[in-house]
Amino acid sequence: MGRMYSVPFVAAAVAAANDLFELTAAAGKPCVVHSIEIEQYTEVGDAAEEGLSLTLRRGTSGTTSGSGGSSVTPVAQISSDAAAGLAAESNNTTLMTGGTITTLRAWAWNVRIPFNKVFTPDTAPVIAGGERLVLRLEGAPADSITVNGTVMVEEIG
Amino acid sequence: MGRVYQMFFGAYDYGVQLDLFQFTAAAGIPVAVHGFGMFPYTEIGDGNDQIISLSLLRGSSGTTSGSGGFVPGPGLPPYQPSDSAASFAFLSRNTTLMTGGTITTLRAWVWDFRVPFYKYFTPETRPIIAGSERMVLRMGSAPASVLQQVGYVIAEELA
Repeated sequence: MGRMYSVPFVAAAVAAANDLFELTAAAGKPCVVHSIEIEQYTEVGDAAEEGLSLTLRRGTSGTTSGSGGSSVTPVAQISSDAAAGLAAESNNTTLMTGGTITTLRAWAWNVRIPFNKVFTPDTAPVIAGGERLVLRLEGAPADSITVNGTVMVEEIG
Repeated sequence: MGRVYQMFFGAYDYGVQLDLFQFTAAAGIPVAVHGFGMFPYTEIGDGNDQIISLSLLRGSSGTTSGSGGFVPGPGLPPYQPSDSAASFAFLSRNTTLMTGGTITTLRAWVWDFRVPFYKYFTPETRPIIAGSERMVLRMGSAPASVLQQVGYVIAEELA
């Protein structure tokens, strides 16, 4: 087993199509995503209900990183572990482009309930060294939402 | 596998921002959280719908403990009757929040008070604190109206 890291973000205002997370694996250090949690806390009640399309996409090392969001420093699950080699960003409004982008999963999120995915060891999404992984909000929400989220990722190597 | 303990919050009025629970690991004895659950029972129906932000925070040994909440009696009972009492310190419902030192956000969630909030972690993703570190589950703000809930946490001492 490799080193585990959490990649959290708090109180992100999301009003447009967005790469909610972008992970870029360091050279020679594949990453395995163990869980994804996305939740919002500003759209409340029946009238605010909406469903949003999400995709998990893997990008080759030739892709261009998204931008416009925030860098997130991965937090070691065990505080004495080494800092992560992977780079993490959240809420990029300019999406990852270029290279070869492959859709790994396609989901939908009803914003009134949490979007939680915990992967079994055999089905956890994996990226090789130098590759990228994004969780993409495919379209703009009807109203801006304020989002918390966490990805748990294992770095191998 | 280490020794496993379950702690209860008890029924309580939640009207301000709280550290819902706080662990302080004993020196040299890390603590892993296996899961927790919270169950509100006074905010019912669309008109009472509200959602708040929650964060799971890790504090270095230099943090100052929160206070103002519930202090369970000494010797938290273990799951296995033959195990010893817990070495970590556990507090719940602190109205004065953990401060100082280095505080790191481990997870960020939200909670709709109309439904229970459950988290059970797979073994590889359990939040862990090293000896003498702290972990708190913090409400991001006060609820819009006072609610009552009960809750519990299950944690393991790893040495």
